[in-house]
Amino acid sequence: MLDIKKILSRSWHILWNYRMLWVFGFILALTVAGGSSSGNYSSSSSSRTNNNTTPQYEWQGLKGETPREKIADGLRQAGAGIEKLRDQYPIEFRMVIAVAVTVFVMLLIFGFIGAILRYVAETATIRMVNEYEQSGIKVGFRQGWRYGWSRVSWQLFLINFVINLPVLVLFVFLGLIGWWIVTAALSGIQTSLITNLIAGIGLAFISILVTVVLMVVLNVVRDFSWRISVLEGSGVMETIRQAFAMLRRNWKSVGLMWLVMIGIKIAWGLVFFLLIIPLLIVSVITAIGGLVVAVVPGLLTVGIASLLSAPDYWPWIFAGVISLPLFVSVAFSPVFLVRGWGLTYESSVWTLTYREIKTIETVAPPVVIAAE
Amino acid sequence: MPEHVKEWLSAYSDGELRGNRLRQVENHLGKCPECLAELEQLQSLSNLLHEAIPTGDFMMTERFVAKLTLNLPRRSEAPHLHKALEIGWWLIPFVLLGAWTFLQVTFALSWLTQNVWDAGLLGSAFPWLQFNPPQAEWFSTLINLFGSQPGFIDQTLLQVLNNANLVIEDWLGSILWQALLAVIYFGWAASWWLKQTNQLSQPENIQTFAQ
Repeated sequence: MLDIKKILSRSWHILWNYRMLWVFGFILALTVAGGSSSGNYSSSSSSRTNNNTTPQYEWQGLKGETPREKIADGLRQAGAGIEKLRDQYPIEFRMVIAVAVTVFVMLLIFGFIGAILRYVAETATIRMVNEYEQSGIKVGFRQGWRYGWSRVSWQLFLINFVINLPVLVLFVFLGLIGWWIVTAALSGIQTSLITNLIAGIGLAFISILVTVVLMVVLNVVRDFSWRISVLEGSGVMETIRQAFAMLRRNWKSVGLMWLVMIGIKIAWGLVFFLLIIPLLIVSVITAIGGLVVAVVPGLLTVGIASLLSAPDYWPWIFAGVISLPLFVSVAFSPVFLVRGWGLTYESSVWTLTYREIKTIETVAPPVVIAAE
Repeated sequence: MPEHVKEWLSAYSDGELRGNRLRQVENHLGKCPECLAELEQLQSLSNLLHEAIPTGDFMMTERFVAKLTLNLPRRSEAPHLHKALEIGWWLIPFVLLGAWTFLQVTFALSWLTQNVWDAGLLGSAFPWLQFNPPQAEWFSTLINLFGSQPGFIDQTLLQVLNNANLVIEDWLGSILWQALLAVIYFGWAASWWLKQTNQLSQPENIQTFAQ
Protein backbone atom coordinates (compact mmCIF):
# COMPACT_ATOMS: atom_id res chain seq x y z
CA MET A 1 0.00 0.00 0.00
CA LEU A 2 1.14 3.51 -0.79
CA ASP A 3 2.43 5.74 1.95
CA ILE A 4 0.24 8.70 0.97
CA LYS A 5 1.38 10.90 3.83
CA LYS A 6 5.00 10.47 2.81
CA ILE A 7 4.22 11.28 -0.85
CA LEU A 8 2.28 14.42 0.06
CA SER A 9 4.92 15.75 2.42
CA ARG A 10 7.72 14.87 0.01
CA SER A 11 5.94 16.75 -2.82
CA TRP A 12 5.52 19.71 -0.52
CA HIS A 13 9.24 19.60 0.26
CA ILE A 14 10.10 19.44 -3.46
CA LEU A 15 7.80 22.37 -4.25
CA TRP A 16 9.48 24.67 -1.72
CA ASN A 17 13.03 23.51 -2.22
CA TYR A 18 13.20 23.35 -5.99
CA ARG A 19 12.44 26.89 -7.09
CA MET A 20 13.16 26.26 -10.77
CA LEU A 21 9.99 24.16 -10.84
CA TRP A 22 8.06 27.36 -10.15
CA VAL A 23 9.04 28.70 -13.56
CA PHE A 24 7.59 25.67 -15.29
CA GLY A 25 4.60 25.80 -12.96
CA PHE A 26 4.09 29.39 -14.06
CA ILE A 27 4.13 28.30 -17.71
CA LEU A 28 1.64 25.55 -16.86
CA ALA A 29 -0.64 28.05 -15.11
CA LEU A 30 -0.51 30.31 -18.17
CA THR A 31 -1.33 27.56 -20.61
CA VAL A 32 -3.50 25.00 -18.80
CA ALA A 33 -7.19 25.80 -18.88
CA GLY A 34 -8.85 25.90 -15.46
CA GLY A 35 -10.05 22.34 -15.05
CA SER A 36 -11.51 22.42 -11.58
CA SER A 37 -13.92 25.27 -12.10
CA SER A 38 -17.53 24.35 -11.85
CA GLY A 39 -20.20 26.01 -13.87
CA ASN A 40 -22.07 28.20 -11.45
CA TYR A 41 -25.48 27.41 -12.79
CA SER A 42 -28.34 28.71 -10.82
CA SER A 43 -30.18 26.16 -8.75
CA SER A 44 -33.39 28.09 -9.08
CA SER A 45 -35.02 30.07 -11.81
CA SER A 46 -34.36 33.39 -10.16
CA SER A 47 -31.20 34.20 -12.09
CA ARG A 48 -33.37 35.51 -14.86
CA THR A 49 -33.79 39.21 -14.78
CA ASN A 50 -37.17 40.40 -13.77
CA ASN A 51 -37.57 42.47 -16.91
CA ASN A 52 -37.68 39.40 -19.06
CA THR A 53 -40.85 38.07 -17.58
CA THR A 54 -42.70 36.87 -20.63
CA PRO A 55 -41.13 34.65 -23.24
CA GLN A 56 -41.02 36.06 -26.75
CA TYR A 57 -43.22 33.43 -28.37
CA GLU A 58 -44.00 35.44 -31.44
CA TRP A 59 -40.43 36.34 -32.46
CA GLN A 60 -41.69 39.85 -32.96
CA GLY A 61 -40.92 41.57 -36.25
CA LEU A 62 -40.32 38.32 -38.14
CA LYS A 63 -42.61 37.32 -40.95
CA GLY A 64 -43.84 33.80 -41.48
CA GLU A 65 -46.17 31.24 -40.03
CA THR A 66 -43.79 28.48 -38.97
CA PRO A 67 -40.50 28.79 -37.05
CA ARG A 68 -38.67 27.77 -40.25
CA GLU A 69 -40.11 30.74 -42.14
CA LYS A 70 -39.39 33.06 -39.24
CA ILE A 71 -35.74 31.95 -39.12
CA ALA A 72 -35.44 32.46 -42.89
CA ASP A 73 -36.93 35.93 -42.50
CA GLY A 74 -34.58 36.66 -39.60
CA LEU A 75 -31.56 35.67 -41.71
CA ARG A 76 -32.80 37.82 -44.60
CA GLN A 77 -33.30 40.79 -42.29
CA ALA A 78 -29.83 40.29 -40.77
CA GLY A 79 -28.29 40.22 -44.27
CA ALA A 80 -30.10 43.41 -45.19
CA GLY A 81 -28.97 45.05 -41.96
CA ILE A 82 -25.34 44.14 -42.66
CA GLU A 83 -25.62 45.58 -46.19
CA LYS A 84 -27.04 48.78 -44.76
CA LEU A 85 -24.26 49.06 -42.20
CA ARG A 86 -21.61 48.55 -44.90
CA ASP A 87 -23.11 51.34 -46.97
CA GLN A 88 -23.47 53.74 -44.04
CA TYR A 89 -20.10 53.12 -42.33
CA PRO A 90 -17.77 51.61 -44.95
CA ILE A 91 -14.49 52.28 -43.09
CA GLU A 92 -15.72 51.09 -39.70
CA PHE A 93 -17.21 47.99 -41.31
CA ARG A 94 -13.88 47.14 -42.94
CA MET A 95 -11.97 47.79 -39.73
CA VAL A 96 -14.28 45.64 -37.58
CA ILE A 97 -13.73 42.74 -39.96
CA ALA A 98 -9.95 43.34 -39.85
CA VAL A 99 -9.99 43.41 -36.04
CA ALA A 100 -12.06 40.19 -35.95
CA VAL A 101 -9.55 38.50 -38.27
CA THR A 102 -6.65 39.78 -36.15
CA VAL A 103 -8.28 38.44 -32.98
CA PHE A 104 -8.83 35.07 -34.65
CA VAL A 105 -5.23 34.89 -35.89
CA MET A 106 -3.93 35.94 -32.47
CA LEU A 107 -6.03 33.26 -30.79
CA LEU A 108 -4.62 30.68 -33.20
CA ILE A 109 -1.03 31.81 -32.67
CA PHE A 110 -1.31 32.01 -28.88
CA GLY A 111 -3.18 28.71 -28.78
CA PHE A 112 -0.42 27.04 -30.75
CA ILE A 113 2.40 28.56 -28.71
CA GLY A 114 0.48 27.83 -25.50
CA ALA A 115 0.07 24.16 -26.44
CA ILE A 116 3.80 23.81 -27.15
CA LEU A 117 4.76 25.54 -23.91
CA ARG A 118 2.31 23.47 -21.91
CA TYR A 119 3.62 20.08 -22.98
CA VAL A 120 7.24 21.19 -22.73
CA ALA A 121 6.55 22.36 -19.17
CA GLU A 122 4.69 19.14 -18.30
CA THR A 123 7.57 17.00 -19.57
CA ALA A 124 10.19 19.15 -17.88
CA THR A 125 8.36 19.09 -14.53
CA ILE A 126 7.99 15.29 -14.56
CA ARG A 127 11.65 14.75 -15.48
CA MET A 128 12.97 17.32 -13.02
CA VAL A 129 10.99 15.89 -10.11
CA ASN A 130 12.03 12.36 -11.03
CA GLU A 131 15.69 13.29 -11.29
CA TYR A 132 15.62 15.22 -8.04
CA GLU A 133 14.04 12.25 -6.31
CA GLN A 134 16.48 9.81 -7.86
CA SER A 135 19.75 11.65 -7.44
CA GLY A 136 19.00 14.85 -5.55
CA ILE A 137 20.20 16.95 -8.51
CA LYS A 138 18.52 20.28 -9.17
CA VAL A 139 18.85 21.59 -12.70
CA GLY A 140 18.64 25.12 -14.06
CA PHE A 141 16.14 26.55 -16.51
CA ARG A 142 18.16 25.73 -19.61
CA GLN A 143 18.57 22.06 -18.66
CA GLY A 144 14.91 21.84 -17.62
CA TRP A 145 13.85 23.31 -20.93
CA ARG A 146 16.07 20.79 -22.70
CA TYR A 147 14.28 18.01 -20.78
CA GLY A 148 10.96 19.31 -22.02
CA TRP A 149 11.94 20.21 -25.57
CA SER A 150 11.84 16.68 -26.94
CA ARG A 151 9.66 14.31 -28.89
CA VAL A 152 8.20 13.09 -25.62
CA SER A 153 6.26 16.34 -25.20
CA TRP A 154 4.61 15.65 -28.58
CA GLN A 155 3.70 12.21 -27.24
CA LEU A 156 2.17 13.83 -24.19
CA PHE A 157 -0.02 15.90 -26.49
CA LEU A 158 -1.07 12.77 -28.41
CA ILE A 159 -1.84 10.88 -25.19
CA ASN A 160 -3.96 13.79 -23.98
CA PHE A 161 -5.74 13.88 -27.32
CA VAL A 162 -6.52 10.15 -27.27
CA ILE A 163 -7.66 10.30 -23.63
CA ASN A 164 -9.96 13.27 -24.36
CA LEU A 165 -11.63 11.66 -27.36
CA PRO A 166 -14.75 10.78 -25.31
CA VAL A 167 -15.26 14.52 -24.67
CA LEU A 168 -15.10 15.15 -28.41
CA VAL A 169 -17.61 12.36 -28.96
CA LEU A 170 -19.83 13.90 -26.27
CA PHE A 171 -19.83 17.28 -28.01
CA VAL A 172 -20.69 15.68 -31.34
CA PHE A 173 -23.47 13.73 -29.63
CA LEU A 174 -24.82 16.84 -27.89
CA GLY A 175 -24.70 18.68 -31.21
CA LEU A 176 -26.74 15.90 -32.80
CA ILE A 177 -29.25 16.04 -29.95
CA GLY A 178 -29.48 19.82 -30.38
CA TRP A 179 -30.01 19.41 -34.11
CA TRP A 180 -32.69 16.80 -33.43
CA ILE A 181 -34.57 19.23 -31.18
CA VAL A 182 -34.12 22.15 -33.59
CA THR A 183 -35.51 20.14 -36.51
CA ALA A 184 -38.52 19.26 -34.36
CA ALA A 185 -38.97 22.95 -33.51
CA LEU A 186 -38.66 23.91 -37.17
CA SER A 187 -41.25 21.33 -38.21
CA GLY A 188 -43.79 23.29 -36.19
CA ILE A 189 -45.38 20.11 -34.79
CA GLN A 190 -45.72 20.62 -31.06
CA THR A 191 -46.05 16.98 -30.05
CA SER A 192 -42.86 16.19 -31.94
CA LEU A 193 -41.06 19.07 -30.21
CA ILE A 194 -42.20 17.93 -26.77
CA THR A 195 -41.13 14.33 -27.38
CA ASN A 196 -37.77 15.29 -28.85
CA LEU A 197 -37.05 17.81 -26.13
CA ILE A 198 -37.79 15.46 -23.25
CA ALA A 199 -35.91 12.56 -24.86
CA GLY A 200 -33.07 14.89 -25.87
CA ILE A 201 -32.63 16.27 -22.36
CA GLY A 202 -32.69 12.74 -20.95
CA LEU A 203 -30.09 11.55 -23.44
CA ALA A 204 -27.92 14.61 -22.87
CA PHE A 205 -28.13 14.08 -19.11
CA ILE A 206 -27.11 10.43 -19.28
CA SER A 207 -24.34 11.02 -21.82
CA ILE A 208 -22.85 13.91 -19.80
CA LEU A 209 -22.91 11.88 -16.58
CA VAL A 210 -21.34 8.83 -18.24
CA THR A 211 -18.64 10.99 -19.85
CA VAL A 212 -17.84 12.71 -16.55
CA VAL A 213 -17.38 9.36 -14.78
CA LEU A 214 -15.34 8.01 -17.70
CA MET A 215 -13.15 11.10 -17.80
CA VAL A 216 -12.42 10.83 -14.09
CA VAL A 217 -10.86 7.42 -14.70
CA LEU A 218 -9.24 8.42 -17.99
CA ASN A 219 -7.59 11.49 -16.46
CA VAL A 220 -5.84 9.28 -13.92
CA VAL A 221 -4.81 6.98 -16.78
CA ARG A 222 -3.49 10.06 -18.61
CA ASP A 223 -1.41 11.12 -15.60
CA PHE A 224 0.19 7.68 -15.42
CA SER A 225 0.60 7.46 -19.20
CA TRP A 226 2.46 10.76 -19.21
CA ARG A 227 4.86 9.51 -16.59
CA ILE A 228 5.41 6.19 -18.32
CA SER A 229 6.01 8.04 -21.58
CA VAL A 230 8.45 10.55 -20.06
CA LEU A 231 10.33 8.19 -17.75
CA GLU A 232 10.19 4.90 -19.65
CA GLY A 233 9.90 6.09 -23.24
CA SER A 234 7.19 3.88 -24.78
CA GLY A 235 4.87 4.63 -27.70
CA VAL A 236 1.50 6.35 -27.25
CA MET A 237 -0.88 3.36 -27.33
CA GLU A 238 1.58 1.11 -25.54
CA THR A 239 1.94 3.73 -22.82
CA ILE A 240 -1.82 4.01 -22.37
CA ARG A 241 -2.09 0.22 -22.22
CA GLN A 242 0.64 0.02 -19.58
CA ALA A 243 -1.02 2.80 -17.57
CA PHE A 244 -4.35 0.96 -17.69
CA ALA A 245 -2.69 -2.25 -16.53
CA MET A 246 -0.87 -0.44 -13.74
CA LEU A 247 -4.10 1.21 -12.64
CA ARG A 248 -5.92 -2.13 -12.65
CA ARG A 249 -3.23 -3.74 -10.53
CA ASN A 250 -3.10 -0.87 -8.04
CA TRP A 251 -6.63 0.52 -8.19
CA LYS A 252 -6.99 0.68 -4.41
CA SER A 253 -3.86 2.73 -3.87
CA VAL A 254 -4.43 4.99 -6.86
CA GLY A 255 -8.11 5.45 -5.98
CA LEU A 256 -7.19 6.46 -2.47
CA MET A 257 -4.59 8.90 -3.73
CA TRP A 258 -7.17 10.32 -6.15
CA LEU A 259 -9.66 10.84 -3.32
CA VAL A 260 -7.01 12.57 -1.23
CA MET A 261 -6.06 14.77 -4.18
CA ILE A 262 -9.71 15.76 -4.67
CA GLY A 263 -9.79 16.88 -1.03
CA ILE A 264 -6.54 18.80 -1.47
CA LYS A 265 -7.87 20.44 -4.64
CA ILE A 266 -11.03 21.59 -2.84
CA ALA A 267 -8.93 23.00 0.00
CA TRP A 268 -6.57 24.64 -2.48
CA GLY A 269 -9.54 26.14 -4.33
CA LEU A 270 -10.73 27.74 -1.07
CA VAL A 271 -7.26 29.06 -0.26
CA PHE A 272 -6.91 30.41 -3.80
CA PHE A 273 -10.30 32.10 -3.50
CA LEU A 274 -9.15 33.82 -0.30
CA LEU A 275 -5.82 34.77 -1.86
CA ILE A 276 -7.27 36.22 -5.02
CA ILE A 277 -7.93 39.71 -3.58
CA PRO A 278 -4.40 40.25 -2.16
CA LEU A 279 -3.01 38.82 -5.40
CA LEU A 280 -5.02 41.28 -7.45
CA ILE A 281 -3.71 44.10 -5.28
CA VAL A 282 -0.14 42.96 -6.01
CA SER A 283 -1.13 42.73 -9.67
CA VAL A 284 -1.64 46.49 -9.68
CA ILE A 285 2.13 46.84 -9.20
CA THR A 286 3.03 44.16 -11.73
CA ALA A 287 0.65 45.83 -14.18
CA ILE A 288 3.34 48.52 -14.58
CA GLY A 289 5.70 45.81 -15.78
CA GLY A 290 2.92 44.55 -18.04
CA LEU A 291 2.60 47.99 -19.59
CA VAL A 292 6.36 48.16 -20.15
CA VAL A 293 6.35 44.75 -21.84
CA ALA A 294 3.28 45.51 -23.95
CA VAL A 295 4.25 49.00 -25.02
CA VAL A 296 6.88 48.04 -27.63
CA PRO A 297 4.78 45.54 -29.63
CA GLY A 298 1.80 47.86 -29.15
CA LEU A 299 3.57 50.87 -30.65
CA LEU A 300 4.97 48.71 -33.45
CA THR A 301 1.44 47.59 -34.26
CA VAL A 302 0.21 51.21 -34.23
CA GLY A 303 2.94 52.12 -36.71
CA ILE A 304 2.26 49.18 -39.02
CA ALA A 305 -1.54 49.69 -38.89
CA SER A 306 -1.12 53.39 -39.70
CA LEU A 307 1.11 52.48 -42.63
CA LEU A 308 -1.59 50.09 -43.83
CA SER A 309 -3.98 53.09 -43.80
CA ALA A 310 -6.03 52.27 -40.73
CA PRO A 311 -7.74 55.58 -39.90
CA ASP A 312 -8.38 57.48 -36.64
CA TYR A 313 -8.23 55.39 -33.45
CA TRP A 314 -8.21 52.00 -35.21
CA PRO A 315 -4.41 51.46 -35.02
CA TRP A 316 -4.75 51.64 -31.22
CA ILE A 317 -7.44 48.97 -31.25
CA PHE A 318 -5.13 46.71 -33.25
CA ALA A 319 -2.34 47.50 -30.78
CA GLY A 320 -4.63 46.53 -27.92
CA VAL A 321 -5.46 43.20 -29.54
CA ILE A 322 -1.78 42.39 -30.15
CA SER A 323 -0.36 43.50 -26.81
CA LEU A 324 -3.19 42.48 -24.47
CA PRO A 325 -1.99 38.86 -23.99
CA LEU A 326 1.51 40.10 -23.10
CA PHE A 327 0.10 42.63 -20.68
CA VAL A 328 -2.16 40.05 -19.01
CA SER A 329 0.70 37.53 -18.68
CA VAL A 330 2.90 40.01 -16.83
CA ALA A 331 0.24 41.98 -14.95
CA PHE A 332 -1.40 38.88 -13.47
CA SER A 333 1.88 37.04 -12.94
CA PRO A 334 1.31 36.79 -9.14
CA VAL A 335 -1.97 34.97 -9.77
CA PHE A 336 -0.31 32.68 -12.31
CA LEU A 337 2.60 32.03 -9.97
CA VAL A 338 0.33 30.90 -7.13
CA ARG A 339 -1.76 28.79 -9.49
CA GLY A 340 1.50 27.32 -10.81
CA TRP A 341 2.40 26.17 -7.28
CA GLY A 342 -0.79 24.15 -7.18
CA LEU A 343 -0.14 22.59 -10.59
CA THR A 344 3.50 21.80 -9.76
CA TYR A 345 2.49 20.20 -6.49
CA GLU A 346 -0.12 18.07 -8.23
CA SER A 347 2.37 17.00 -10.88
CA SER A 348 4.96 16.11 -8.21
CA VAL A 349 2.41 14.06 -6.27
CA TRP A 350 1.54 11.96 -9.31
CA THR A 351 5.20 11.55 -10.29
CA LEU A 352 6.07 10.32 -6.80
CA THR A 353 2.99 8.08 -6.75
CA TYR A 354 4.09 6.52 -10.03
CA ARG A 355 7.63 6.02 -8.69
CA GLU A 356 6.32 4.48 -5.46
CA ILE A 357 4.00 2.08 -7.26
CA LYS A 358 6.80 1.04 -9.58
CA THR A 359 9.07 0.40 -6.61
CA ILE A 360 6.40 -1.64 -4.84
CA GLU A 361 5.86 -3.69 -7.98
CA THR A 362 9.59 -4.21 -8.54
CA VAL A 363 10.49 -5.15 -4.98
CA ALA A 364 7.67 -7.56 -4.22
CA PRO A 365 7.24 -8.13 -0.49
CA PRO A 366 8.37 -11.57 0.78
CA VAL A 367 5.53 -14.10 0.95
CA VAL A 368 5.31 -16.48 3.89
CA ILE A 369 3.98 -19.85 2.75
CA ALA A 370 1.59 -21.14 5.34
CA ALA A 371 1.78 -24.73 6.49
CA GLU A 372 -0.75 -27.14 5.06
CA MET B 1 45.96 -48.43 -10.98
CA PRO B 2 43.82 -45.56 -12.06
CA GLU B 3 43.31 -42.62 -9.70
CA HIS B 4 41.19 -43.02 -6.58
CA VAL B 5 37.56 -42.04 -6.69
CA LYS B 6 37.23 -40.65 -3.16
CA GLU B 7 35.57 -37.39 -4.27
CA TRP B 8 32.70 -39.41 -5.80
CA LEU B 9 32.17 -41.76 -2.88
CA SER B 10 29.69 -39.55 -1.06
CA ALA B 11 27.53 -39.16 -4.17
CA TYR B 12 27.83 -42.89 -4.87
CA SER B 13 26.74 -43.69 -1.35
CA ASP B 14 23.65 -41.46 -1.76
CA GLY B 15 22.81 -43.09 -5.12
CA GLU B 16 23.32 -39.89 -7.05
CA LEU B 17 25.75 -41.20 -9.72
CA ARG B 18 24.65 -42.24 -13.19
CA GLY B 19 26.10 -43.61 -16.44
CA ASN B 20 29.87 -43.72 -17.07
CA ARG B 21 30.74 -42.14 -13.74
CA LEU B 22 28.77 -44.84 -11.86
CA ARG B 23 30.47 -47.62 -13.85
CA GLN B 24 33.89 -46.02 -13.30
CA VAL B 25 33.39 -45.86 -9.48
CA GLU B 26 32.02 -49.43 -9.31
CA ASN B 27 34.96 -50.81 -11.34
CA HIS B 28 37.42 -48.93 -9.14
CA LEU B 29 35.83 -50.12 -5.90
CA GLY B 30 36.19 -53.74 -7.12
CA LYS B 31 39.95 -53.24 -7.39
CA CYS B 32 40.81 -50.67 -4.68
CA PRO B 33 40.51 -51.76 -1.00
CA GLU B 34 41.44 -48.25 0.19
CA CYS B 35 38.46 -46.64 -1.51
CA LEU B 36 36.21 -49.52 -0.46
CA ALA B 37 37.18 -48.96 3.20
CA GLU B 38 36.41 -45.28 2.89
CA LEU B 39 33.00 -46.08 1.40
CA GLU B 40 32.23 -48.42 4.30
CA GLN B 41 33.16 -45.66 6.74
CA LEU B 42 30.87 -43.23 5.00
CA GLN B 43 27.97 -45.68 5.04
CA SER B 44 28.38 -46.50 8.70
CA LEU B 45 28.41 -42.76 9.56
CA SER B 46 25.26 -42.27 7.55
CA ASN B 47 23.54 -45.15 9.36
CA LEU B 48 24.58 -43.69 12.69
CA LEU B 49 23.01 -40.30 11.83
CA HIS B 50 19.76 -41.90 10.73
CA GLU B 51 19.49 -43.93 13.94
CA ALA B 52 20.17 -40.92 16.19
CA ILE B 53 17.08 -39.58 18.13
CA PRO B 54 16.41 -35.86 17.48
CA THR B 55 16.94 -33.69 20.54
CA GLY B 56 14.22 -31.42 21.96
CA ASP B 57 15.70 -28.28 20.36
CA PHE B 58 15.48 -29.60 16.85
CA MET B 59 12.42 -28.58 14.81
CA MET B 60 11.27 -29.85 11.45
CA THR B 61 10.83 -27.19 8.73
CA GLU B 62 7.10 -27.85 8.41
CA ARG B 63 6.60 -27.46 12.16
CA PHE B 64 8.63 -24.29 12.22
CA VAL B 65 6.50 -22.72 9.46
CA ALA B 66 3.28 -23.81 11.18
CA LYS B 67 4.42 -22.34 14.49
CA LEU B 68 5.46 -19.08 12.80
CA THR B 69 2.11 -18.83 11.05
CA LEU B 70 0.33 -19.31 14.37
CA ASN B 71 2.32 -16.45 15.87
CA LEU B 72 1.64 -14.04 13.03
CA PRO B 73 -0.87 -11.26 13.85
CA ARG B 74 -4.14 -12.24 12.26
CA ARG B 75 -7.21 -10.31 11.35
CA SER B 76 -10.28 -11.59 13.06
CA GLU B 77 -13.09 -12.68 10.79
CA ALA B 78 -15.20 -9.54 10.31
CA PRO B 79 -18.92 -9.99 10.82
CA HIS B 80 -21.27 -9.07 7.96
CA LEU B 81 -22.41 -5.85 9.61
CA HIS B 82 -18.84 -4.70 10.05
CA LYS B 83 -18.11 -5.44 6.38
CA ALA B 84 -21.21 -3.57 5.25
CA LEU B 85 -20.24 -0.59 7.38
CA GLU B 86 -16.77 -0.60 5.89
CA ILE B 87 -18.13 -0.67 2.34
CA GLY B 88 -20.52 2.14 3.25
CA TRP B 89 -17.65 4.11 4.70
CA TRP B 90 -15.69 3.86 1.43
CA LEU B 91 -18.76 4.75 -0.58
CA ILE B 92 -19.19 8.13 1.17
CA PRO B 93 -16.70 10.13 -0.95
CA PHE B 94 -17.94 8.56 -4.17
CA VAL B 95 -21.55 9.32 -3.27
CA LEU B 96 -20.60 12.92 -2.48
CA LEU B 97 -18.74 13.35 -5.76
CA GLY B 98 -21.56 11.62 -7.62
CA ALA B 99 -24.09 13.95 -5.99
CA TRP B 100 -22.01 16.98 -6.93
CA THR B 101 -21.74 15.82 -10.57
CA PHE B 102 -25.43 14.94 -10.71
CA LEU B 103 -26.51 18.34 -9.38
CA GLN B 104 -24.10 20.23 -11.63
CA VAL B 105 -25.36 18.43 -14.74
CA THR B 106 -28.96 18.93 -13.65
CA PHE B 107 -28.48 22.66 -13.06
CA ALA B 108 -26.56 23.09 -16.31
CA LEU B 109 -29.30 21.41 -18.31
CA SER B 110 -32.11 23.26 -16.53
CA TRP B 111 -30.26 26.54 -17.07
CA LEU B 112 -29.96 25.73 -20.77
CA THR B 113 -33.61 24.72 -21.06
CA GLN B 114 -34.72 27.84 -19.24
CA ASN B 115 -32.73 30.08 -21.56
CA VAL B 116 -34.09 28.28 -24.61
CA TRP B 117 -37.58 28.79 -23.21
CA ASP B 118 -36.87 32.44 -22.41
CA ALA B 119 -35.75 32.97 -25.99
CA GLY B 120 -39.14 31.70 -27.09
CA LEU B 121 -37.63 28.82 -29.04
CA LEU B 122 -40.04 26.37 -27.45
CA GLY B 123 -43.08 28.35 -28.51
CA SER B 124 -46.10 27.40 -26.46
CA ALA B 125 -45.11 23.76 -26.30
CA PHE B 126 -44.69 23.76 -22.53
CA PRO B 127 -47.46 25.87 -21.03
CA TRP B 128 -46.65 24.55 -17.55
CA LEU B 129 -43.20 26.16 -17.80
CA GLN B 130 -44.77 29.62 -17.67
CA PHE B 131 -44.08 30.32 -14.03
CA ASN B 132 -44.36 33.69 -12.35
CA PRO B 133 -41.29 35.90 -12.40
CA PRO B 134 -39.16 35.51 -9.26
CA GLN B 135 -39.32 38.27 -6.70
CA ALA B 136 -37.55 38.95 -3.44
CA GLU B 137 -39.76 39.10 -0.33
CA TRP B 138 -39.09 42.81 0.28
CA PHE B 139 -39.86 43.58 -3.38
CA SER B 140 -43.26 41.89 -3.23
CA THR B 141 -44.03 43.69 0.07
CA LEU B 142 -43.12 47.10 -1.39
CA ILE B 143 -45.17 46.49 -4.51
CA ASN B 144 -48.13 45.50 -2.34
CA LEU B 145 -47.69 48.55 -0.13
CA PHE B 146 -47.22 51.21 -2.81
CA GLY B 147 -49.40 49.75 -5.53
CA SER B 148 -48.43 47.92 -8.67
CA GLN B 149 -47.51 50.99 -10.73
CA PRO B 150 -44.93 53.20 -9.00
CA GLY B 151 -43.02 55.91 -10.89
CA PHE B 152 -40.60 54.94 -13.67
CA ILE B 153 -37.41 55.68 -11.69
CA ASP B 154 -38.68 53.95 -8.59
CA GLN B 155 -39.73 50.95 -10.59
CA THR B 156 -36.38 50.70 -12.41
CA LEU B 157 -34.43 51.12 -9.17
CA LEU B 158 -36.52 48.52 -7.39
CA GLN B 159 -36.20 46.13 -10.32
CA VAL B 160 -32.40 46.52 -10.29
CA LEU B 161 -32.24 45.95 -6.55
CA ASN B 162 -34.59 43.00 -6.81
CA ASN B 163 -32.48 41.46 -9.58
CA ALA B 164 -29.26 42.05 -7.63
CA ASN B 165 -30.81 40.44 -4.60
CA LEU B 166 -31.92 37.42 -6.63
CA VAL B 167 -28.51 36.99 -8.29
CA ILE B 168 -26.70 37.15 -4.91
CA GLU B 169 -29.26 34.76 -3.42
CA ASP B 170 -28.66 32.32 -6.28
CA TRP B 171 -24.93 32.62 -6.04
CA LEU B 172 -24.97 32.06 -2.30
CA GLY B 173 -27.32 29.14 -2.76
CA SER B 174 -25.07 27.44 -5.26
CA ILE B 175 -22.00 28.12 -3.08
CA LEU B 176 -23.73 26.82 0.04
CA TRP B 177 -24.68 23.39 -1.21
CA GLN B 178 -21.22 22.89 -2.66
CA ALA B 179 -19.66 24.05 0.61
CA LEU B 180 -21.85 21.59 2.49
CA LEU B 181 -20.66 18.72 0.28
CA ALA B 182 -17.07 19.92 0.71
CA VAL B 183 -17.41 19.99 4.51
CA ILE B 184 -18.76 16.40 4.56
CA TYR B 185 -15.92 15.36 2.24
CA PHE B 186 -13.34 16.97 4.51
CA GLY B 187 -14.92 15.28 7.51
CA TRP B 188 -14.57 11.93 5.82
CA ALA B 189 -10.99 12.65 4.73
CA ALA B 190 -10.00 13.83 8.21
CA SER B 191 -11.44 10.74 9.91
CA TRP B 192 -9.71 8.49 7.36
CA TRP B 193 -6.45 10.27 8.04
CA LEU B 194 -6.83 9.87 11.81
CA LYS B 195 -7.75 6.21 11.42
CA GLN B 196 -4.70 5.68 9.26
CA THR B 197 -2.39 7.43 11.70
CA ASN B 198 -3.81 5.47 14.65
CA GLN B 199 -3.40 2.16 12.86
CA LEU B 200 0.23 2.89 12.10
CA SER B 201 1.02 4.00 15.64
CA GLN B 202 -0.74 1.06 17.38
CA PRO B 203 2.07 -0.68 19.34
CA GLU B 204 0.40 -4.12 19.23
CA ASN B 205 0.56 -4.12 15.43
CA ILE B 206 4.33 -4.05 15.66
CA GLN B 207 4.83 -6.07 18.86
CA THR B 208 2.66 -9.08 18.02
CA PHE B 209 4.97 -10.12 15.25
CA ALA B 210 8.07 -9.51 17.31
CA GLN B 211 6.84 -12.02 19.93
